[in-house]
Amino acid sequence: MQRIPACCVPETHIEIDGLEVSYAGVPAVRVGSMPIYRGCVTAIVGPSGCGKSSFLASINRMTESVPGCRVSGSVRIDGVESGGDRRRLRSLRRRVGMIFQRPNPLPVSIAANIEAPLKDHGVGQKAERRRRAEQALRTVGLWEEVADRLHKPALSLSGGQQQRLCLARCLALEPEVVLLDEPCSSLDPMATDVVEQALARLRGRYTTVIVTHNLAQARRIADFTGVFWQLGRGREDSLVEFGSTRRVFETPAEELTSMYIGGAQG
Amino acid sequence: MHDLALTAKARDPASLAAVLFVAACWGALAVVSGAGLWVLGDLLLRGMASLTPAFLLGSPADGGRAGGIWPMIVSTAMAMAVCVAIVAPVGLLASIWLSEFSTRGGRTGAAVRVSLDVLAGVPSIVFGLFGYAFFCVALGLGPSVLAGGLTLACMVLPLMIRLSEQSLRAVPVSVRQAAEGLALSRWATLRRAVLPAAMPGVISGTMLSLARALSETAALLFTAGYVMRTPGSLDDPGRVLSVHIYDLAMNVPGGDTNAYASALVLVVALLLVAAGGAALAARRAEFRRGL
Amino acid sequence: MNDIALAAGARAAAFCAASLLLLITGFVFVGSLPALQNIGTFRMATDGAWLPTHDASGSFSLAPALVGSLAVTAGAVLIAAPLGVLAAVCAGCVAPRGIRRAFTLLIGVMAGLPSVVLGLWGLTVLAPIVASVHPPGPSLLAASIVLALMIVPTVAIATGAALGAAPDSTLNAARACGLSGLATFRLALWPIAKAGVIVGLLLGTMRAVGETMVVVMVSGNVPGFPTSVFDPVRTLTANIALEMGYAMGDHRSALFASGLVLTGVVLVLVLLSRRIGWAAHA
Repeated sequence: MQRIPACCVPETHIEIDGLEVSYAGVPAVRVGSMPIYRGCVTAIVGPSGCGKSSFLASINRMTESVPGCRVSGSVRIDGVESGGDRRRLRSLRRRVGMIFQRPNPLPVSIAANIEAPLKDHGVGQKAERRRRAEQALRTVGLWEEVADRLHKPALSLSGGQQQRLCLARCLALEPEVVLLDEPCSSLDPMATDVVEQALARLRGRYTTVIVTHNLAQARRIADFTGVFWQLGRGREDSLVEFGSTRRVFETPAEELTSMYIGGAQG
Repeated sequence: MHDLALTAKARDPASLAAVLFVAACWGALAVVSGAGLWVLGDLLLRGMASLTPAFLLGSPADGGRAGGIWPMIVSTAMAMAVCVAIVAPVGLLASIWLSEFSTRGGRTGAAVRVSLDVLAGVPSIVFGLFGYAFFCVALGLGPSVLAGGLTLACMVLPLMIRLSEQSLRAVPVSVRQAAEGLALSRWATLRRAVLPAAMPGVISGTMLSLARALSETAALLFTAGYVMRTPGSLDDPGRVLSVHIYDLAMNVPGGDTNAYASALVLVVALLLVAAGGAALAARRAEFRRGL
Repeated sequence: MNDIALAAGARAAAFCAASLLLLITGFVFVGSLPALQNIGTFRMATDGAWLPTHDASGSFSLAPALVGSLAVTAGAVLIAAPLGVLAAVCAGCVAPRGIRRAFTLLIGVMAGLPSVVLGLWGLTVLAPIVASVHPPGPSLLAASIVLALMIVPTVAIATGAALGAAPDSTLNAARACGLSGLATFRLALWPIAKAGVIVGLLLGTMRAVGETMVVVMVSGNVPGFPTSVFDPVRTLTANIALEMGYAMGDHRSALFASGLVLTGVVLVLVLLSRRIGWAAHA
C-alpha cells in the first residue's frame, strides 16, 4: 500500500505576504499572498521575465547579494520571518537549499563538494560527513556513477551529473526546503529525466519549490502550481492563480492561465 | 568584485581560522598601502622642495647638485620620440598579423607568440647590452639619443604588440561580419571597420608602452650616453631623466635634493602619459558614439 | 593590391618582432664568446670569486653574482607574495568599496613608479634605517624590501584579476549553501584563482631577477657570497651595470656571458608560467 504523502494534509510551511522584489527601484515581482505547503512540490510557472526567479531568490534571500535589489514584505518560514543578519542568513540558507539553472559545483573534488560545506557548518566527524555524502549521493542516484572517483574534480562530471551533485550537496545539509530554479533548463532530455527522478524522491521529505518553463514537467512532478505573469498594464499582483496542479491545469479559473497553458501546449 | 565579508562569529567552528585570515588580509593591505604612501609621500615632500620653473628650464651646474634639468628633458623627449616612432607602426602591424592573419592554433603564430613572451621577460639590462653591441657598435651609432631610443623600442615592442592585439581581438565579431557582408576587401575591412573600433585600445597601448620606456634606466646606461649637454641632433649623446636620477643618487654626494625633484618630474610625466592615454581613448570612443 | 601589401607588411613586422629575440640572444652570445673560449664555463662556475682583469688571468666566477641575484629575488618574493596576495584578497573580498577603490588606485600608481625612483628612495630612506639596525645598510635585506615594493603591485594586480575571474555561479553555490566567508574563499574562489596567482608570482619573480636599478642602488654591490641578510651583495644585473662602462676584453665578454645567464633564467620562468597558464585554461 502506498504511503499517504504529507501533502494530502496541506500545512503551510512558508507564507508569503505582500512580498515585492525590485531592481533599482523598478518592481520585478509582487505577490500579495501565497502559501507553500510542507512536504509538497510547488511549481512556479509563467512567461519569461515575470519574476519567477526573483520570487524564488527572495525565499532564501539570495536577493541580498544582487546589487540594487530590494525586497519588502514578508516571507515567513514556520512563522518566523526570514532574513536578518549574516549569522541568521547562514542558518537560513542551510535550512533552505537552492539549485540553480546551470549546475554550479564548487571547483573542488566531488567528495569535497558535499563534505566541505558540512564541515563548514560544523557537522560531525569526518566519518559522519562521509556517511552523509554517500547517503545524499544515493538519494540523487549518483553514487554508483561516482563511487570510484570521489576525488576527481566535480567539473569533470557531465551536466546532468553536476546538477545531481548540486542537489546532493544541498540535501546533505539536511534542509527543510529545496528551491529549484529551472534545474533542467540546461540539460538534455535524458539528463532531465534522471534529475526529475531524483526530485520525485524528495516529495514528502522536503518542501520543494520549483521554477520551470516546462509545463509538462510542472504537471508531472508538482502538487501545487502558481501561475505568474509580468507586472504592469494594470496588473498589480504577479500571482495569477494558485491551486493544486490538477485543478490549475484542468479547470483554470483565470483567462490568462488557460491562455498560457493552452498556448504553451498548442 | 565580490561582496563577501570574511567575518565569523565566536561560535562558528571555523571562527578562529577565519578571524586570523581576515586579520592577516587587513594587515597585508595596511602594510602595502602604508609602504606605498610612504614612498609617494617622501617623493612628493622631498621633490617639491626644489621644484621650480627655473629647475625645469635651467641647465645643470656643479655636477647636477645645482641648476636645472632642461637638457635631460630634451634628451628624454627625443629618445621617447624615436621609440614611439618605431614602436607604434611596427607594433600595430605585427599585432594585425597576429590577430587577423595568423591562423588560430597555427605553428607560426604560436612561435611568434612564445618569442614575444620571452622577449617581454628579457631583463632591461640585457637590452642595454644588446643595444650597445648592435646599435652603438655594429651599426656605428655610438652612444646617442637615437641608439637609446631604438633600444627602448626593442624593449617595449612586445608590450605594444600584446596590448594592441588585445584591442584588435576585442572588436566584436559583428563589426567584421558587417564589413564582410558588404564584400569589402581585407584591407578595407580593417581600415573602415576594425581599426576605428580598436583605435582607442591601440592608442592607450602606445601610451602604456611610452610610459614603460619613460621609466626605463638600465637599458639606457650605455646606449644613450651620460653627458649633461642638450643634444643638438639624434646622433648626439644625451642623458635621459632616469639616468640623471641614478647618477645624482649614486655618484654625486649632495645630489639627493635634485634627484628627488627630478624623480617627481619623471613620475608626474608618467602619470600625465597614463592619464593622457586613458583620456584619448575615451575621447575617441565618444566620438564614434557621437556618429 | 592593398590586401597583398597589408599582408606582407604585417607579416614582415611580426617576424621582425619575433626574430628580435634571436638577434638579441645572438648578439649577447657573440659578445660572450671570447669569455666562453678563453675562460670557459667551468671557471665561470667555479673560480670562487669575481676579480676580473682584461685578460683571462683574473678570477671570473659568476657564482657569487648568481647567488646574489637568486638571494635578492627569493627575499623579494618571500616578502611580496604573502603581502600582495593577502592585500588583494582584502581589497577584493573583505574591504568596503571605498577602500577597494582607493587601494586599486594606489596600487596602480605604485606599479607605475620607475625602478630608479624606488632605488632612490631605498638608498636615501630605507638603507639608513637598515643601517641603524645593523650596518652597513645597503644590503641583501634592503634590496629585497625595495624589490618587494616593486613587485607587490604585480602580484596584487594579478591576484585581483584572478579573483575576479571566479564566476558568479560558483559564488552563488557557496552563498546558497550558507558557507562562511573563509569557506567561500577556500572552496569557490581560491581553486579558480590559484593558477592566475601563481602566474602573477612568476611574473613578479621575473621582474625581480631582471631588475637592475633597485639592486645597483640598494644592495651594496660587494661581490661575494652573503652570510647574513645584512651583508651587501652584488647581482648579475648590477654587475653588468657597474662594470660595463670600463670593462675591456675578456672582462667585458664575461659581462655579456652574465647577460646570457640572465636570459636563460628568464626563459625558464616564462616557459613555466606559460605552462601553468595553459593548465589553468584546460
